Amino acid sequence: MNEEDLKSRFESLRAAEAETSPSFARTLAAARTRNSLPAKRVWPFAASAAGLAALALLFVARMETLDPRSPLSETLPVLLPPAAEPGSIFPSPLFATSDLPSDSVLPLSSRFSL
Amino acid sequence: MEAELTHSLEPLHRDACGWARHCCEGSLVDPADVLQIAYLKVIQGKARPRGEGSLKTWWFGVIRLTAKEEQRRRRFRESLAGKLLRFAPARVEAPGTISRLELDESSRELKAALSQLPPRQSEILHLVFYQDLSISEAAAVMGVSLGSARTHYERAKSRLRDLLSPSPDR
Repeated sequence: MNEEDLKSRFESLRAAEAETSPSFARTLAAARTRNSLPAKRVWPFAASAAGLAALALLFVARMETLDPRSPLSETLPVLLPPAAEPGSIFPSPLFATSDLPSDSVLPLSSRFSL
Repeated sequence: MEAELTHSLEPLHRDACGWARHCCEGSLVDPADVLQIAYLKVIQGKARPRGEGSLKTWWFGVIRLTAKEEQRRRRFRESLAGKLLRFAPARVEAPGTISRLELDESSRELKAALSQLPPRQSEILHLVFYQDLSISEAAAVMGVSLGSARTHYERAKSRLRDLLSPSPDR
């Protein structure tokens, strides 16, 4: 089958179809009576996007409540005993004088492992 | 402006009907619906030629996209989600519906062979042989490159010849 044969087959199909085509005026009139284009389906997508966002928010909120970590104030070590007197943390009353050795200004309750 | 454009589409109407019919082949979408929606897009100014290519390639591109939109819409309506969302049932018969064809044996055979081709191959054969467009014009309608259109064209032609030639074992 050559190109001419193909063409003639398509032409006979075209002729048969042309007979049953509605007229231009009729199609245009029918188009005008439709008056509006079919609505784009925006809202199902908007609804599903909103749903996904809500789920994400719920997930984040749930993660927050399930977080096993304690607040920082509970986890930091306490350097001073709660009952320690504010004045007794320094070893020497000479604290007020100048030329103190540097270790005498260290709090008594601090422990340094060497 | 729209009236002028609509008027200039009149000489293309017969070809447009054939193209719409081809675009809806194998789907439940009515080609008359597609054509009416495409005209409505022009009337409402939602589809305008951009000045590239001919009016025919632009118009055929609009019809092709409209057919695809309608097919998607139809699939959605018939899907579970569409049924759950209670979309109005699709119209079965529209005013000005393109009536069923009484085709001769040769044309029926041609249509059956075309339906066995991949969509792009079938489209390019329709555009070149039925609509008398060049391959580059067909590429513009289909939104593919010229090279790609040529490949589709060559493959489609050889496949169609195989399908239409009587096989020796028949």
